[in-house]
Amino acid sequence: MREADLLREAFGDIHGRRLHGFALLVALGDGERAEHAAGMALSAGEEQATALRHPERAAAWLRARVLSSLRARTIGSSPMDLARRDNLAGLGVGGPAFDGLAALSPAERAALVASLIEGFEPIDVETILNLGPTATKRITARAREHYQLAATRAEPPGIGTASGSLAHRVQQVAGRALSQPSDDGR
Amino acid sequence: MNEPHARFSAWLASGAPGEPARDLALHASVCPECARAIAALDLLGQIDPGRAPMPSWDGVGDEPGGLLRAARFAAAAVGVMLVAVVVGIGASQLIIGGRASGEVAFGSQTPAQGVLGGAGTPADSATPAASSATDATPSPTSEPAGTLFELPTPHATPRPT
Repeated sequence: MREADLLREAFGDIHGRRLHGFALLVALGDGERAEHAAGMALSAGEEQATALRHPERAAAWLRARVLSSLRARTIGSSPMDLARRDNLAGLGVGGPAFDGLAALSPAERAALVASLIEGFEPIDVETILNLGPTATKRITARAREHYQLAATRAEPPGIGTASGSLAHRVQQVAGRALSQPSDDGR
Repeated sequence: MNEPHARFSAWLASGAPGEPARDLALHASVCPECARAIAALDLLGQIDPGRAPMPSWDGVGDEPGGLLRAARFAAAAVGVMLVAVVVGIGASQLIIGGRASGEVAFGSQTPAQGVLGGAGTPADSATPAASSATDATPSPTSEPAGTLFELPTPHATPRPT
């Protein structure tokens, strides 16, 4: 088998699942549209597998294709809210997180997922959104704010029950402040 | 809104880089609103897109090829032709129907006039014998009792040549 063929075969294995997950999140659990968008992007990516050797750049390029596909108007029925929640529950999206994501536009969801969930570099988020640095920063900040407002409105979990990394960081700093009070209080 | 709360919110909005200042962390640990915001953002950390199944994409992403495009064009053309045929048939039916109703109108009799013409019978009071001898002018009651309106004078219906 030629190198190009091997590369094409590996391309789907490397990017397939995560790209599908990204598409599911941006499509807010619309499984049919998400799979179609991810499939189209992978198919197009395979054709350019040789040029898309850098994994991060390739991942951003693929996500840009997915977002472009999901932004396009579609004809057909949209799945029910329950089906969307079920599809996203498999990725670990709980009730408040779903409500937070549902408050965003597809582009805002893409910005939030790419930057906060998948940890893409800003330059890759710009590629995904097909926007410049300023616009990308603006849309990412707006996505974060809208998500936060909607998610906290839906269900108010306390920080004591939260076990995420952010809560842990804040608790650590607060604990240090209580045990070793500094002169200026910081 | 107090100052630590606003600063902590701004720290969150900027992406929560590094560690928060001590006073902000102390505020956040006792502020329910800040606690909810932290928990909401932490929920994102539980999401793993890699848990999605592998999508099926063999042939899904192919751009429409020549054959497919031709098939789509043919389907569209057939659709347009069908609409044109349906509209044409409908219009021709209307035209034929109009002509047919016109022929019936010209060729038929007007029986209503004949029937109505014979329906009215003169009342007894309309006869000269029933009226008084001093009143020579005909009274309004001289019209036929069975007719509510003046009957038109029957004319022969013109027949088409």
